[in-house]
Amino acid sequence: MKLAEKLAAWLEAGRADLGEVRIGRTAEGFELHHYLDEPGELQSYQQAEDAIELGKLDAAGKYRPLRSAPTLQRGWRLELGSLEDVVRALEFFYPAMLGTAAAFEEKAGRPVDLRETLNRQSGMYRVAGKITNEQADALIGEVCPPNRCLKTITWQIEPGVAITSLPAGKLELGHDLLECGRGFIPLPCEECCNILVAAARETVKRAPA
Amino acid sequence: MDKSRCALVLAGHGSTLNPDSSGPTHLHAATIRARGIFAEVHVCFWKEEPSFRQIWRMVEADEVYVVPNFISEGYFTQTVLPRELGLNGPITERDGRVIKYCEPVGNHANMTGLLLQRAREVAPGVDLAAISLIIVGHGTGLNDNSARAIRDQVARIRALGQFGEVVDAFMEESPNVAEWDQLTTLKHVVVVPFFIADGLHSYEDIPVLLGMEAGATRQNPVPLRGRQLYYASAIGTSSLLADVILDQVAAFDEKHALAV
Repeated sequence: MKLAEKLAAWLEAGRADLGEVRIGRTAEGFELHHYLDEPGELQSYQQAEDAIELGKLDAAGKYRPLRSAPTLQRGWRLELGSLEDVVRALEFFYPAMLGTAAAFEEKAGRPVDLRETLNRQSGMYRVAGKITNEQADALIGEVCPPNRCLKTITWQIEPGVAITSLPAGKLELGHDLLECGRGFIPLPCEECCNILVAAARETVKRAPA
Repeated sequence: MDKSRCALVLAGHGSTLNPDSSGPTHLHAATIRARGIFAEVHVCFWKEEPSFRQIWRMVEADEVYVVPNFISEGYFTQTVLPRELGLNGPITERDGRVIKYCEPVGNHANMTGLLLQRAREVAPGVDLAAISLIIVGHGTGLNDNSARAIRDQVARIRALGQFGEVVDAFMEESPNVAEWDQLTTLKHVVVVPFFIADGLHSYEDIPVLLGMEAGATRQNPVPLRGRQLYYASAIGTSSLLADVILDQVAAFDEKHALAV
């Protein structure tokens, strides 16, 4: 199923939140805004590409290299005409998350354990693979908690070695991390990001295993 | 070029520190998207989202061109990108898709025109024959090919015979850009960073190696070591780069016409 059709089905089912972005319908099409903002006195934008800039910096002007950090700035309204434009904008706000959520819903998600990701690295990141399971668990607790990232982790440290350093809800795909009490589209973390890989490298360099 | 059933994926480096690093890749993607040539145009990054690994959750077309928005053939294009994207050669068939892996944008011969334009615009009014032009690349011990794109460009520009002299220099390889005054002989020295984005390297590292202040707003020329030094912005920020990306797609089709 195409992403636009998938999104249409989610919206039809009342699942209109993706991370901190809420998707609403208007007479002309669609309107995206921060879930804590009420439509109304918001700065208006009309291009899907505007989502690149809106997602780049937080309210304090700090760079958001991790787009799933719960620091999306408020005060904007993105008005879009077509569902395809909405998909494109959402791909800028939460890259690859629509397709990943759809894959998990269709039982086609492919979680990659941390150990596999680290062992694949080369160059300056190769050393990251030397991190111990205990160090990795502690690091995940520091780098990935809900106040740093809104994704739901689907992978383990290695087969049979689960993450123990995060609240259980961070590891359950159906869990409402923002506690909105509304229908939402999940943000599945299928494989650890490069921020965690880089942090693992730092951990190993600081305290060799 | 009719690619109305194909997707184009631009793969860039990106940064977790510099918010502007991915700007050129996004900009060139938007330019190409607006032309309506491809059904889809996506970007992905090493240090930003979507990652190279995530891109296959975004692409819907069955035929995909991947163009590395990298300046040279090297560690990223030969090791990291194929590994992370799951490619096994120029053409990979996987999960019902055909993935066509193009050469990096910086490898294309048409980059010469962009370099010449940058070099001319930074020192207007100076006779080209009185200019020593330095093309600066990153260089790396991780891959021998990294410097090749720069050396190729230098050879092409030198062959045109327009500039007094043309030399290559690198941050992490010899000849080192810090020795710019020994690598050149003419009074006017134009330095063009052969980089995709105006990031840490072109804003801070290279100016420091040249002996200038890091990040300072520069008024060209800067009098330094008895010369007049002109420092250009990174080549990858040129709006003309979108055309070179499309040239790289066309070059792929031409090269692999018999294989497809």
